[in-house]
Amino acid sequence: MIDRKRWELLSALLDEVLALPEGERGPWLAALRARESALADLLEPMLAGALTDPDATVRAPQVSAFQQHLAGALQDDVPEARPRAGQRMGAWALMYQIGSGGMGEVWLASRADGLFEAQAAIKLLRSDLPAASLAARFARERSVLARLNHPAVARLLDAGIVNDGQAYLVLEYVAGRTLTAHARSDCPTVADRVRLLIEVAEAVDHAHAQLIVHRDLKPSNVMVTASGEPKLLDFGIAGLLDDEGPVDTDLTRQTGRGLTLGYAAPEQILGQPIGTAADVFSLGVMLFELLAGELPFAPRHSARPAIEQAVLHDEPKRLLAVLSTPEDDAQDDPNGPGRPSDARRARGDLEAVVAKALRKDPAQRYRSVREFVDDLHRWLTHRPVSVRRDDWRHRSRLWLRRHAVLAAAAVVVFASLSGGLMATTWQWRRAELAASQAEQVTQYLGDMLGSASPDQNGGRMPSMMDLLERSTRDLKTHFPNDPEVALKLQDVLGNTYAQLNRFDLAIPILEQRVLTAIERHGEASERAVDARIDLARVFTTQPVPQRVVELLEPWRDLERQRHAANPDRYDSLLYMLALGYMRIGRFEDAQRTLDEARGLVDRLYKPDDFEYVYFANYVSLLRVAQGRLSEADALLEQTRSHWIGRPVRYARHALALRARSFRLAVLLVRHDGLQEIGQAMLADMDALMGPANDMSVNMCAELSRLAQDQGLFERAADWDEAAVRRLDDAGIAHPAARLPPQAARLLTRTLSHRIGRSQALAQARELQQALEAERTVTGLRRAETWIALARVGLMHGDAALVEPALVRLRADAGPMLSPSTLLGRRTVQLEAELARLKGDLATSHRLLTEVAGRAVALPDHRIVSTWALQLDLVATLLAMGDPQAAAALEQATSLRPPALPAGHPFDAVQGHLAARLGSRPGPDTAQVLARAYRRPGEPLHPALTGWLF
Amino acid sequence: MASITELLSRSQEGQSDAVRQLYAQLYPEIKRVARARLASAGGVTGLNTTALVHEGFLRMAEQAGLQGGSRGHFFAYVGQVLRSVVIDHLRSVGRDKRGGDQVMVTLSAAEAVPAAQSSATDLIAIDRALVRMQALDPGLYELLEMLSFAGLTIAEVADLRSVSSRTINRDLIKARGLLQALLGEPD
Repeated sequence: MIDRKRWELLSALLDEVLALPEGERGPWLAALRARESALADLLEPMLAGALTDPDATVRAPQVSAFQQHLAGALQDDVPEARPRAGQRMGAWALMYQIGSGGMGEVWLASRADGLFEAQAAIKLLRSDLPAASLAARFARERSVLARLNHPAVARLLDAGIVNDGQAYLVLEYVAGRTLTAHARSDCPTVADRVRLLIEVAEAVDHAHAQLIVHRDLKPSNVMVTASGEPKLLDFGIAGLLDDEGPVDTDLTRQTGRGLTLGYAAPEQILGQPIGTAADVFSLGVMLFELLAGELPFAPRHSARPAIEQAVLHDEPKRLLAVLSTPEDDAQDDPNGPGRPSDARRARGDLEAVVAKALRKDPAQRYRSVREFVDDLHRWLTHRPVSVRRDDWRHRSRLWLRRHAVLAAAAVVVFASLSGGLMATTWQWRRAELAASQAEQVTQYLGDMLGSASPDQNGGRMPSMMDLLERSTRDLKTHFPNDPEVALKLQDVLGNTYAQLNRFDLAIPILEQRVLTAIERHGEASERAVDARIDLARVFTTQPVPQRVVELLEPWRDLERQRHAANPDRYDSLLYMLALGYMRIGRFEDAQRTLDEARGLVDRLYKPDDFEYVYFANYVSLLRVAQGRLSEADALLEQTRSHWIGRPVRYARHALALRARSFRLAVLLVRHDGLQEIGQAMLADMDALMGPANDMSVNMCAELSRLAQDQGLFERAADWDEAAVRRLDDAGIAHPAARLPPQAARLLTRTLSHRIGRSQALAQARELQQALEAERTVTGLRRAETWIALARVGLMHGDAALVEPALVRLRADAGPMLSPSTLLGRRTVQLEAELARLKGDLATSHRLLTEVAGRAVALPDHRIVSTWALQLDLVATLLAMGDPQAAAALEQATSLRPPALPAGHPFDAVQGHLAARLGSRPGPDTAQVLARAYRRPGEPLHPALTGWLF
Repeated sequence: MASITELLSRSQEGQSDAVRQLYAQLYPEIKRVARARLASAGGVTGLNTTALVHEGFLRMAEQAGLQGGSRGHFFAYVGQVLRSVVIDHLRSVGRDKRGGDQVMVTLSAAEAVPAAQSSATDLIAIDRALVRMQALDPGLYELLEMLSFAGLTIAEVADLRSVSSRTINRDLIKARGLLQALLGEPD
């Protein structure tokens, strides 16, 4: 029995003998035997090899077939019976194996439940995850992935786990060849290949909009059908299979999976957080390969460490350099797509596009696949790509940075310190943590929102609202210990609510986000300012413009100092602040703020950038607030060339601008052909966002306003009916969406006599009650709803209805109702009409004199609203028997918009007032009015002008 | 949570809580890496422990930030885990098929080694011998784990220990001898 002491002795002896030349070891052993025969007996076998065969290579003892045993043990460790034909996987039966890959075998399968004839590809996953956690994940995520519905994405039809723990995915079966094979034979030119890749990238972009990242994009995951249409396979599946074990033990998390090196982004190799930028990178590699016939970092079959090294640390090959070398047969890799016949065309802009997609730092790549696609489109249509503009912008940022404060310099220093070659454990853990946070958020949102943008879902989807409400509750309970996750969720939830016009829900979340950001990152941190800007953006839609100013004014100087690092933030701050100023009537401050923004825009953007449209938009808003409508209109008109031919992401902005321009045309009485323009816009809105979206419902309201201004009440009522019908058709039941158009419809139904007095008043009261209870209708929409209800009451002379509506209007929207604004003047007009209705002519006179005076003093005063205001003043003066009535009527006549066709109802009103003044004899004005308003058999009410505007 | 480096060195000193923690943290990971490698090698015959080291465990060591000595401990630990995977498997298969009989495997030191060393031996006995060897001479024990089970080469181990290949060769002769002696002893 060898014990420690004995071994120490033996060990020392072995050291001694092994230090001798081989030839002397035999004699040494003999000498030892002479002294200590027992020790020599022990040592002899130990020295066996070293004694008898001095030249023998020293080998470690090997257990025979250890590797095979290990392989067998590992394999048996995962219960994985061999799949066989006929085996059922849920509703599917396996037919035959059609492939295998890193993830497992792929089988063709047919529908086995006889419900319908169908074939699908079934992926049998070789997963290391325990079946239970995999099942839970499948249940959670397959619905998200199944929602991914795009012609160029092979759909995930089903996913599940059969009894023995075998996980499977059922995917749309695509017959075709890989992208590489297709490109090689059917896409000989650079342009062909760029077009092909655009189709692929479009599908990726679509998925990104649904919060689904591919994470394993490569040519073998793109099949091209016989008709030449690409289909992406395995979307989101890499993410589906990522392990989610506890961070500390999970050493190989994102990298253990059979990630295809060569197409994977550096952050994937490093196991860092993975976002859409990883897909941008992979698309960049694919583009490079299609253009050059080879991979940008290392040859296809290099060893894994070499590829990793190259992707992490080497710059990609210059396309120019690759294309300059002749393509001989040796270089033509049969596994690659080969080089396009006109490869030289890839020089220049395409090279810049590739370089930008392949930046190591995800933040330096295209911000989205969309931008990448846009650039490829630009290249195809021979327009300059954005990368060049990007260079330009980059240069100006550098310039700004040179003049920036210390803070920016500190950021640079920190970045260079932490950018070591290999992540330390600490950094790696941080990255893991960030990844897990990002994953939590993405997964959570993926579950929750499905498709993130209301643009594609017609705005308010009740189901989405339900989900959001649920997640708002979760926010409080699910992430109590993770402020970073909470912060991200607050960001997304708050802004999504805001997009859905649920400001009542957005505001508390965004307010909480400001607090979280302050608590976590400090009062003056960039995160806190970002949070404040988002909150302020919501406040600008609310009757609380002073809050915008309070929120942002204190940070303006700080942001000015540090804007070099993030000019977008300073931009946004200035725009929001300007909006706040203009809403509370600080027009000069608003102008100064916009002037400063203009300086920034000039420095940062080229003259044809969409940024200039944004800027012009804010200035035009200021002009509208100032009542300088023609100027506002001219400003918008100048940007018109930017509205068309823009990438889709600007389409919504462009439509909003067209809608504003439409509104200005209505106000400025440029009614010719306007209805047709409005109808075309309606069609465009529906095409972009699906039926019953917010914007098109509003557009119906705008068309109704046009008809009302034209005096075409029947048509106006038709449009308001159409608005409500759109909501009905889409099954939108939320009162926040329904109340404003319902009130508008009640008004035009009243104007067009589709509804009797008692019914109208009863409905108005119902709506009034509903609106009081429904705090989710806020801001302008709330104000307009109260106004509509008040007007219904005024038309029927029901002061008891009008009075509370106007009181509520003031209470709910007071700060928006400054008499310097159109909305404010309309409110005063209604209050004056109510006073007249109640017999308080002095108040009516005072109010109307004030606002009519203001309206007439504005540069654009020959407009319908000002004319109506002046007619209203005449009516009150007449009721007072005031001799100034004649002069006032004279002025009213001069305010009549010349472009308005004769026979407008207000002409009848004007004639009626003139007749009552007795200054000129006329036909039976009561009849004229009755005809004009199509109100047979009913007497005119003294509150007549109450329904003028 | 203690770092892997710390756990490796504390379990080296025989602290049992460290051994337990290390087991909890590393064992499943090592198994998973090996399985993933098996999967990408395309099945049982493709698996090769040298490739396993290069494409799996080196990366693990890097990601865990292991340097110097703790890197050596780590690879020895990898060998131990892989060995125990096989033993556990053989034991369960044995139980299933032969009512708990010991499973015989062959220990060989490849073709150049005399027949005496490739006598039929029980892997489970090797396991026991290695456990004893760990107590007698941890350095030699680790050497065997690294070379015989984790799949490192002599040059790599020399590099890891910052000694010459010659020194490793000499240690290997000693380790082999000790193992042989321990295997020859009654339990």
